[in-house]
Amino acid sequence: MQLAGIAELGVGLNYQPQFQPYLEERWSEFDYIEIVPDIFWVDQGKGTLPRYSEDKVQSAFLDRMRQRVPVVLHSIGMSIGSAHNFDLEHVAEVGRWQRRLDCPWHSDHLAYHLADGSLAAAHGFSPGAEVNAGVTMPLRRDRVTLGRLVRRIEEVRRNVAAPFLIENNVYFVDLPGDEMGESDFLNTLCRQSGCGLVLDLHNVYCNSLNMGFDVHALLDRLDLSNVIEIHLGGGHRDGAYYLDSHSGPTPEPVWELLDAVLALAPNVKGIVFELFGSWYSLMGEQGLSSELTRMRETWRRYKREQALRWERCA
Amino acid sequence: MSEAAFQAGFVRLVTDEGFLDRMRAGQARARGLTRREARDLCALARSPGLTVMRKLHLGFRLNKLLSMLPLTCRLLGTRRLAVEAKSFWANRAPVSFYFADEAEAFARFLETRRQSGLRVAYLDDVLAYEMALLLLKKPRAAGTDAPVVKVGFRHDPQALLGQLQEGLRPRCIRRKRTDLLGWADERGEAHWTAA
Repeated sequence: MQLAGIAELGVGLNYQPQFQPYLEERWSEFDYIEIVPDIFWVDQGKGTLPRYSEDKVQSAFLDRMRQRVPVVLHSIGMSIGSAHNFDLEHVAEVGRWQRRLDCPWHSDHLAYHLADGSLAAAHGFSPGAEVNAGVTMPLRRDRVTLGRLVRRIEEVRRNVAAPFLIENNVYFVDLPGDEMGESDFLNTLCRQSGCGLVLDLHNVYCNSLNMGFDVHALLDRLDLSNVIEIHLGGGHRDGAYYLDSHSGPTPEPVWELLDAVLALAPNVKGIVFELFGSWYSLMGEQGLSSELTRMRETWRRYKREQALRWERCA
Repeated sequence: MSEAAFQAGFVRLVTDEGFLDRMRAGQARARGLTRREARDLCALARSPGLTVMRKLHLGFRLNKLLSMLPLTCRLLGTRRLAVEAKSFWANRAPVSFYFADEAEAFARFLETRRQSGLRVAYLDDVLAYEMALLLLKKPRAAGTDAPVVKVGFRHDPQALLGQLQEGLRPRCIRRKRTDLLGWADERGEAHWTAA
């Protein structure tokens, strides 16, 4: 992966319509905004012209914010792991938004949510329709999946003029037939495809609680030089499971993971806090502000320690 | 194509309760799978994590209705909403990412149910109002004119919508034939005036 050209951004906050006032009034508290581009347009469906119509109200807000801080795209719509199809028109639309906002990188999830239309047909819908699970579905970690992902990421890199990062997924089941562990799969994917990694530490934390593995064992095997961005967030318990609900402050164990990862990851360009808009009223302005302040302190420490390491090397 | 069939089967476990139940009971088979994939899908159906995925999926779908049709959902109440949503989902696979698409389809479903006998007081008025709002709030391509919609209420809209917006189930709303015209401004906010 070409790391040389990637801009260093610092502390980021995700965009949700509910915290537009916060973003406008307290933009000195963060260095960049992460947006889900898919919510800024409406896809009228394949074969329609124009296929994508823009949400003018939200886009106008985004254009105002872009005057102040950089924006990165964190898509949810590529469904990059779908076996039946890969929608290059969707990729092209991401590319158009990347150019429009001059985003230094963009990312999507290591998962799929679209499946073949035979399911829709079983429900009486036209066989051409795809089914949208609405949740990120885990992929089998085997060579077949790896090959498919590498080809897709090559397409993405050809069509979008910014480095592409893939985010480790949250999952609640182990797929039978995995040929490799999560770290080895991510390392191989990054090496073979040329993408970087969004390391969502809350996802790792969630998975370790739900699936019962040692999070440090996973991180020890992960090639942290691929990590370009780190995601933080909160969740909540639901029975025996812990959910990645983006519902509040980052739990203490995740902050500890952040320190551990930053000590060993040489190429991190940004840390983003993710909160769903519907939980904003519970967390409040002060809660959000405290989170960003702590991220800022961590980021400064990371940069100081990185500078010291460079000095020692020199 | 086998991997695509496996993914479709896996998604169906998450999105289709009847299929999940039949798979758990060993009474269903997904088509186009190898023997290994069929075995794997059965194992997934019995995994406790699948229940969590299904819950997240339903939460995602329900949230679309609650956020796009809040007054209709409040009018229906929790129990009736659960019954109607379940019936709606049983016949409509989740084919769209968008909140508005799902909400429009649910509104049309409720309208059909209403015309075929579903009795919920004031549903015709509230549904017509929120269907009009969906139309007004739909993103428009640059250069296209904002639509103007007309909603004919059979009951006093101020009292009816006011009670619902305060979180109340409406009671004793007087009959009052009222036509309202609605349009959306530059910021996408809807405005209403008497026709």
